[in-house]
Amino acid sequence: MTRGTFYRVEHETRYVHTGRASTSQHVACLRPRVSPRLTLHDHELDVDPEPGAMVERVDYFGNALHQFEILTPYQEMRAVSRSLVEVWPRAEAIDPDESLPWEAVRDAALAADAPFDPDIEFRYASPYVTLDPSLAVFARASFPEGRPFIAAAVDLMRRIHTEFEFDPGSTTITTPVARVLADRHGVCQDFAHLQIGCLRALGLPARYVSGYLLTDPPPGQPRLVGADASHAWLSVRCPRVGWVDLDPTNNALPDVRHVTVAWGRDYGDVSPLRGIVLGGQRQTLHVGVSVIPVEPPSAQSA
Amino acid sequence: MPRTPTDNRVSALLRDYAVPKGHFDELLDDGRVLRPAWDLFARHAGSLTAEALDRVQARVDRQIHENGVTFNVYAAADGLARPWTLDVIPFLVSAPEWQVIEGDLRQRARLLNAVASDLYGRRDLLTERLLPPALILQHSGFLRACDGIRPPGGVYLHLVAFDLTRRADGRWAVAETRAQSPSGAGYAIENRTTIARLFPEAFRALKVQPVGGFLQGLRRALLEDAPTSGGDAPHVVLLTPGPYNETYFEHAYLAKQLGFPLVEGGDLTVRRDRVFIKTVSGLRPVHALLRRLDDDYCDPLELRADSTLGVPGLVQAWRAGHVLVANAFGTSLLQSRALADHLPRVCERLLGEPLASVSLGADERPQLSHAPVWSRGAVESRGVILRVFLATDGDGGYQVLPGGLARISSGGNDRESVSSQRGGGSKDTWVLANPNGEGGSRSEGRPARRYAVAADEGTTSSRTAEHLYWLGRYAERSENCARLLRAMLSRLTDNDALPRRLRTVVLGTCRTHGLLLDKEARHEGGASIEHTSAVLERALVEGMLDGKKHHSLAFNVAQTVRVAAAARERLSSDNWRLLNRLHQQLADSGGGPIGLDEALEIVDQTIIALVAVGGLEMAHMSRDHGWRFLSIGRHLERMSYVSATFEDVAESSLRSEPALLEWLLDLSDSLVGYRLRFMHHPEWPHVVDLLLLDSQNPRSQAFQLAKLAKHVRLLPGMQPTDVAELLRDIDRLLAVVASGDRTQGELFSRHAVLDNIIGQGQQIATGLSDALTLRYFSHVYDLPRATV
Repeated sequence: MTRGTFYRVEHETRYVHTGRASTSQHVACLRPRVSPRLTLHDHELDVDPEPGAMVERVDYFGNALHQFEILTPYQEMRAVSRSLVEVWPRAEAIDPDESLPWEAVRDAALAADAPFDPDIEFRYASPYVTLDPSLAVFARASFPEGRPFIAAAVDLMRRIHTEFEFDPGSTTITTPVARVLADRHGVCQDFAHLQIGCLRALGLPARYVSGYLLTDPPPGQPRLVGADASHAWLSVRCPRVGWVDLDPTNNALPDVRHVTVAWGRDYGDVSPLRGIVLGGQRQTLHVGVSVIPVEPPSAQSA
Repeated sequence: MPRTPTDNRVSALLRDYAVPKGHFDELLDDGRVLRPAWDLFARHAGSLTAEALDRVQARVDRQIHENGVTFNVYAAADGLARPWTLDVIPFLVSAPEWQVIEGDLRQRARLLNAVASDLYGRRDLLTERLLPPALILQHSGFLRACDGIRPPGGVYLHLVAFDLTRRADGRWAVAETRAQSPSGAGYAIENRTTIARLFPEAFRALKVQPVGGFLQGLRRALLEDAPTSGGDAPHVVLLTPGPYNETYFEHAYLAKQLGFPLVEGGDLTVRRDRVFIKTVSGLRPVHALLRRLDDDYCDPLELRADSTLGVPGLVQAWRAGHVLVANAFGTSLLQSRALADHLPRVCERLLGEPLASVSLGADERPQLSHAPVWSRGAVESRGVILRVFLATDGDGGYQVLPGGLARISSGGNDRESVSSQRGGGSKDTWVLANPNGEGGSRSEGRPARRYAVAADEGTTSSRTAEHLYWLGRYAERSENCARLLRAMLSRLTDNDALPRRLRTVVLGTCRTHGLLLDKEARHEGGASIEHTSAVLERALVEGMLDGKKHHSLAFNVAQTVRVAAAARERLSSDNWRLLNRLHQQLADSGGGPIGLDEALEIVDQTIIALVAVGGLEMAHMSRDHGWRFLSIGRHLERMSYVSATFEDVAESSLRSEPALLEWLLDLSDSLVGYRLRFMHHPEWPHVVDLLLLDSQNPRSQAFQLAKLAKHVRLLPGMQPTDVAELLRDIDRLLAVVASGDRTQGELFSRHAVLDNIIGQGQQIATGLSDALTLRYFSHVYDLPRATV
């Protein structure tokens, strides 16, 4: 019996306030997303102080959400998401040069007799990905006429990786994509948004993926950037191939070292933990993520 | 030319009336003959002369102003003040025409409700390609957070409005849809009360359909649809963005008409998926809210994170089915003009019937029909847009407000100039009854169910309580300020009334109350009496009207009106009109230099208006917690004033001077009372008695203390420990006052006793204000902040 790769994932978020927060409400998007390539063996979300109520639901995009409120005054709030996941490699390797020409992907949705495609919304601008004309100009260098879609998208990813500087602190989550493009630096969310914007500007479908990276690489491989916090990349959809993930921060096609948590149009749809706090004055955020490979549980329990 | 008995009069008025080519004429037909409804109106409208109409229009303008329809005290700061004008000539719609409009729009409202149900549910309209996907999925009003939520009863639209324009061929078309929180129904009803009384005979002759039942129907639907649990009486509130909003008047008006408390986002809180209002008695459940806040501002947790106007968790409470939100979140999507283009096929699919109403094309510029408007002595023609309102009838259909808000362009023919934000005006819309008695509001026939609506006693929100408390304080402070000014200004010209040697004391009091600057008050020096009187007079008169100067009369009155506006749904319209008129009067006087005589006149008028305001509070407000906070504010302020002015005199060696004592009695409106009782010149022991100790004098400190003790004991949820110390102090003080032998002047020879009484009073005032703030008010202004 074949086995995937097992990871124990721990994602801790702490808010420390300078004053007392009286109440707060939160939406967490922290449970790894089950798919043919990810089996979730165990998950728990621990919150301190104890929430007054916690509700689980599935959002518009199919992601699992936890919604909770804290009704006791506090100065520090801590949410820890712990999971045991099993990640599987793709069934078939991707040959980027074998995909359809990008124009065909673009035009597929425009055909008059095309049935309704629910994924069409990943071609549109979204709150965090506004489509500035400069995006298409930048993207076009990777999209010469007739080039296979995946090959072109991989080339765009490579260019973002080589031409942009990974620079924590240089941007915030609200920095517009066009600004990231002009300044040539950012963090993983920015690069994901940038590439998504470039693809959508050409009429191509791309979605935002949030998740984690393996913390310590296998011997002989470099440590990936973004492994100590939650990570972000993107996914493009190609007819016959399906969704293909691309990680412009690491110039990699994610395989078994990435753990997917959720996807949506952009960061706003899948932010890991958002909340509204009453009182509390100033706050500082501390985030820690660890993704550790573990032995598969014994055959009996599996 | 019109061929009717009204010929001569009417044609004289219509000399300049002309409708541009290509626009439908509401008034005259192709042969320039009055259309039947207008003809009937002209016959019964009474004296239709230019002079009469000018007079009536002036009255309407004044009335609207006094009702405060335009009044937005915050508007001056951000430049949003636009006069809301109301034309005296009503807009007439004949019965057959209305029947068509009514039927068409009822269907359209049902259709839009079905569209919302589909788009936030199965989305057949997309999968069956009846709507282009980009139209919905790319629209910022398509709220993914609302996906799959089915509101109580499947009703997405409780109140919906359509802006209609009449095309050249006479057919009405829908230009705009107001689906999420339509405004204007309150204005439409308010307009009716103003205009109908101007033409009572015409109003009867035309059998104009009444508009009053519409809000009752909406009220009933909200009460019936509100999800309550355990036999609770349904509690419905009206959610407003607050007094800064340009249609705040309407929010307050509707809240009063519907009998729902007016609340802001900060007044509500969500706990365990249920909505509560923060009242002075603690949290009280809310089962439905009629919102005047846009979709995306309603919940910073799930919608716009930067909104401070909303209620965190509201979407989740709605999702859980514990609260009705009217209209449903996500309905702004239905306002898309592009959507209207696709409605014919959508209607066939969802309702199985053809769409009756016509939509204006997404890019079509409407040619507005023209109606007569009274404009500076002549009838002119102006473009008209008619906003028609529908409310759910509780049976899956809609009732139509038989009337509406007719808005007229300010001059041009385009739609832009019609918006009330751009200075256009409005008209009262008269819908004529069908001669055979059909039509009219359907809601009339339904039996009215009685609801034990949650009594107001428990639902004074913390915010309203705080505003009422400050209303009490500022109204009292304004009156005190005016009395001090009158006492000064009226004595400046008369050396007998205020001998020079007393001025140091008097000017000190003016200084502590902020009426004079330090240097002005010390300006005595060696100058002649005439000279210093002139200087003082100028300083006092100029200062009192300077609204930027804190403690000035204009400032205090402006503050009074500001807090009154924020608590306006709790005040009677008479109360509001008095305050509004007063504020306007002071603002008008602030323009140029005025003389002593005029200043005294203004001060007198101010006192009369404020006394009337105080009288209305006593005569007309029900004795709920809100009133109690208002009264506490008044008594606290009065006590501070009495003891502060008293102290100035008590500390002076001149305190036995009759002129000084008369002045002191005058400050507290107690001069007449003194004379009635003592029949001679004021003497110090009697003044002490009257102003400090006499529990029968409504201006005395003892009186304020007794009232405060009584009100504070009746406050809701007040733990004895909160104010126990304060109440003990009050009782102790009152006991000292009662036990002293006042007639023998025992108390008055001993300074320490007097100092103690005054000092303790002042401490109690401060302590009580702090205790109330801590216990009832402060948490309201704790702003929510987002973390992402």
